[in-house]
Amino acid sequence: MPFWVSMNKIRFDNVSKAYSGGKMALSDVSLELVEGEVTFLTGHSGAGKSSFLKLIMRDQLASSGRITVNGVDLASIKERNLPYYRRGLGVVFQDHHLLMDRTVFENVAVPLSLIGLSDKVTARRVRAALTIVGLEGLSKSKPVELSAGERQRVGIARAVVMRPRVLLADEPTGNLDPELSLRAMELFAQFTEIGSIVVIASHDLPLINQIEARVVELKEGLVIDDSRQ
Amino acid sequence: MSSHLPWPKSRFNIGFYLKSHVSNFRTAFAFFGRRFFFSVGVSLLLGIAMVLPASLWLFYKNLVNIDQEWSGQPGLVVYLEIHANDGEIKRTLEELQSLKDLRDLYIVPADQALKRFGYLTGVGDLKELLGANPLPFSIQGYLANDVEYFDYEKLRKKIKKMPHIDDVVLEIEWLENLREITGLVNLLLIVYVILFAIASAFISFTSIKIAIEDRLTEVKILKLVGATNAQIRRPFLYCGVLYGLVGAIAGLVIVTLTMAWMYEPLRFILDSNVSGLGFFGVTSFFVPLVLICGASVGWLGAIFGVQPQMKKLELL
Repeated sequence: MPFWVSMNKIRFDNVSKAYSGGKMALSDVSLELVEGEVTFLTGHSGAGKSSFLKLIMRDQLASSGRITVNGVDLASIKERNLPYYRRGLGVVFQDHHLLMDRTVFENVAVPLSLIGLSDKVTARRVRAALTIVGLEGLSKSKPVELSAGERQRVGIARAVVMRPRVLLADEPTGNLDPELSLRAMELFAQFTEIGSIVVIASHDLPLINQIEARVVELKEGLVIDDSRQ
Repeated sequence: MSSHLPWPKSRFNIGFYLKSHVSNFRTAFAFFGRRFFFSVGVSLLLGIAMVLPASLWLFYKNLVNIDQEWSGQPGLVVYLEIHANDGEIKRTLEELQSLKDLRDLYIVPADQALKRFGYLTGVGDLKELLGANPLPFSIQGYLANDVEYFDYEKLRKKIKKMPHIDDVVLEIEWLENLREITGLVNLLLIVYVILFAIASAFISFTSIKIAIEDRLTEVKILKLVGATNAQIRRPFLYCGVLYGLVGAIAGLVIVTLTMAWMYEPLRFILDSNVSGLGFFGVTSFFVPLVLICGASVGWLGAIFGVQPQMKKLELL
């Protein structure tokens, strides 16, 4: 495919996900996510937002239907190749999941330590990621010394340091105040400018309404609304 | 673009691969230090488990050593016919001396034999008691060093057929007993080595499982950001190797102290029976052997501890 053609695309074709016990997390979901677009997944708890993200992460397999990323069926990716797929993803959680015994710098550098970059390049990219989230002065601090908002931003920096093609966030603003939440969302939106697909699961409707984005509403695993605002 | 992945896969880089091994070893070392008492406890357990087969192996090597040192020197006693005269005795001695299979032959007169018998049994002067000496002249000596064990019986029969010879006795009963014991120790050694390997691997397996549980968040994060299973498990494998190595060192110290404590009493016994016999102790061959065994068993246990965890691990 020529380099100038849009590369990043996630497509859900009639995707359903059932867990043991028969609970349908997702039901016949069909949609397409493209690069340069921020998509909010909304809905109450249990609507299927996290399951949607887990399917993209290939932490789970769809029970039926097909999910393709850039034309590649996720189900066809072999187990041994999954790590290489996940290196193209950036994931942010509500609980930041930082390594408390390491510095901010070391936390952000974790993904880079897997791909053989030189120390110089690693340092440059970590500093750049910390600058994006506004924490360039705290690289030597440990997470225990940071506030909840700062820890969340470290989590975001770790997610973006690899310049992910797909940025996923699961309730990333749950522990943040409104001002920080808005800043975090604006930060995610910036990544569309470098061609990332950004998908954010959130039930914070007032916050979502402040961002110009696509909104996909889920209810009991079904897509009940898919619109731009 | 690869048809199996949505984006290109990073290329294998040997420099990075080697560097990551060094880094993983440092991580394992740091973990060992952070959980120092736990790690030392695990290593000590491994070391103690290693002491029995290691000591048994040394014991076995010493038995083999004794066997080899003595096996070239079994003695023999050639009993002459009771009525053999001096001339016949001398001719028999000359004939036996001409055989290259024998050495250091000498005549033991009947009177001397009777005196020694009386002394050993504590009876005293048997000639007075018996009136006449019932014992014959004998010729005693040793088999040559190059006579094979399997030829002993053939040689014995050959000598027995010679004129004026009544009986030939080879002093190999103790040697056969020694061989039996050596065989038994060898069997015990195999059993204990297998048991030790299983026990030590299990200790390492359990310890590594605990180490993984301790670092579960880190492991899940690594999996999430695209670490391969090899990258995730490597520090734990190095941890297992460290446990095994330190355990091996602990085991070596215990064995060395035990051997040092036993050396003098054993030396006394050996010197009383065989002079100049070497004592097989903790050597430059034994030390790396134990270290390699310890590291291998530690690694093996770690592999069994890590693999199932990797399979069932979910992302955050």
